[in-house]
Amino acid sequence: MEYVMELEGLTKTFRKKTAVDNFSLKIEKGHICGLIGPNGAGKTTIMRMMAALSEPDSGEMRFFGSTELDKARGRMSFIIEEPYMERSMTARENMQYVRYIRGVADDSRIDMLLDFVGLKDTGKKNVGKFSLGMRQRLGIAMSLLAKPEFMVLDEPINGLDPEGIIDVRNMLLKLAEEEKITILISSHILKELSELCTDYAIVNHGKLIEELSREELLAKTKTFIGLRTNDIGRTCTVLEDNLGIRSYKVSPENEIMIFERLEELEQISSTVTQNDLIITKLNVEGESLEDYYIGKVGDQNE
Amino acid sequence: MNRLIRAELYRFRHTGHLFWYAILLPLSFVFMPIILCWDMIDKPLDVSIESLGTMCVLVYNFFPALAAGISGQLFNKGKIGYYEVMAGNKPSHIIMSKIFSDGVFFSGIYTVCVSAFYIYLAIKNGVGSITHPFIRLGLFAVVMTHIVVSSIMIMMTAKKTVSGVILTYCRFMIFDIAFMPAMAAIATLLGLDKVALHIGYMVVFNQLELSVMSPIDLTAILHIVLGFLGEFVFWYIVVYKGIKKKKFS
Repeated sequence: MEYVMELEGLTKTFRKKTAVDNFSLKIEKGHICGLIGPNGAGKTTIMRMMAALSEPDSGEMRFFGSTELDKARGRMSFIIEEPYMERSMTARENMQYVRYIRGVADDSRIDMLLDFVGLKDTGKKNVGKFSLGMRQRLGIAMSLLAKPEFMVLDEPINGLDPEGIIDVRNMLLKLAEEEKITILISSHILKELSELCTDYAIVNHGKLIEELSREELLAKTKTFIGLRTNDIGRTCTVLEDNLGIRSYKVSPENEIMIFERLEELEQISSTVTQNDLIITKLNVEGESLEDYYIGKVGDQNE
Repeated sequence: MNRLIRAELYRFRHTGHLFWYAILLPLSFVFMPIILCWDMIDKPLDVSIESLGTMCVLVYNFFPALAAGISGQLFNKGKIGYYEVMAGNKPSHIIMSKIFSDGVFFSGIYTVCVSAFYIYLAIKNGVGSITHPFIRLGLFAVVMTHIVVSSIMIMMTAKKTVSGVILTYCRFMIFDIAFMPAMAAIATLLGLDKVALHIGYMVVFNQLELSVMSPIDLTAILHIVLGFLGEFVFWYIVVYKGIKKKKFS
């Protein structure tokens, strides 16, 4: 298994407050990992340490299997908080400035990326006059300039309109799929992360609460079978007598929620129909990432 | 480091009105001595410098250079080295790229601008009783570079522009005008006349006066050159540690 990022026992304390507490996380190549946590959980501090904008008190970081971090950072790109850009310069000039810093030889990549993020026609308009969404897009374009293999994005869709959010999501999916870029992303918009990420790391009080893949999340959030028929009362009898199901309840919307035997959808279906009942709805329903996260972080905070 | 210098110069050139302010400020000082020394236009260099005296040394050389160093770093305030650090560049390369871009540009342009009128007088009317004119010009350039580079590096140590400006003026005003003379006075009271003399030579004001007006000897040259190198190393260490500790706003 090839890991692009390995953090081990990362700790950072600001005066007496421990912002990051013995945090460990690994990301496989080509994966998109969502870093989820409430405000002040330590997400940005973790990313700042990765970007060398903050020094960890203890712990170890490895990028691309190497502890030569400065060298490895040349293969990475970061958007930490609001991407910094010179406001009296145009989008192209900011791109040009970053191109010099990163030592990117190919000048044509600037136009290609500005086109990619939809800022090609901003001309001589200074970045200071850009909306937050436009600056976010420019930040993404700047971070893509050096063809990074690993991108670290802290709240990259903050301030974007719904269309912009979809654009950025599609853009990141395309990057991960076509260019095999590994991405670590934090966002408060959990719905977006659930559609984007292959892995999730839930952080609270600077600690890693849980690390799980999309498959694991799906498995864990598969919580009940939703069943609707033409006769709810008789269906309950069938479930109890024929299938021995005891753990269920009927919702106010007249839906039966079965909390056991979640893998036996087919058997439930055939038994119910064999008893001359008409099924109008039958599926496995689960929590959203948001519900799961709130459950996890809520437990922690209690 | 070349690409960092190139990036810094690119940003400097494209930072709008600040760029023009940085260019026009030193250029305005070309005209100051012309206005104040207009009646000296046909006199040799020693007479014109004598007539302007300390004002010529301090106001028209010291303050503009200080302002240059500060304005040089105004371009960078907010997030000095933000992208440079994230791109995996070494702190030493980041610091030296600022010195070789902003530092060289400002010290060069200020040395040329503030000495232009005096060079003109020296060529037209002769230097008079002033000895070693070329060595003086070289030492003057070193002192100007000292002020510009030090103020750039002090600005780089501070997180905020305001605190950087205050720190720079504290260094060159309070430290040079109050602390160092006080140290020299204490040394004199203790009978350490030579120590007092050396302390006096280390004051940047005195170094400016030395390079322009006072007799030139090896001690003066060493004090000016070593004073610059010593302060450069000191601020380099401070800035380096700051970047290592990642003091970004």
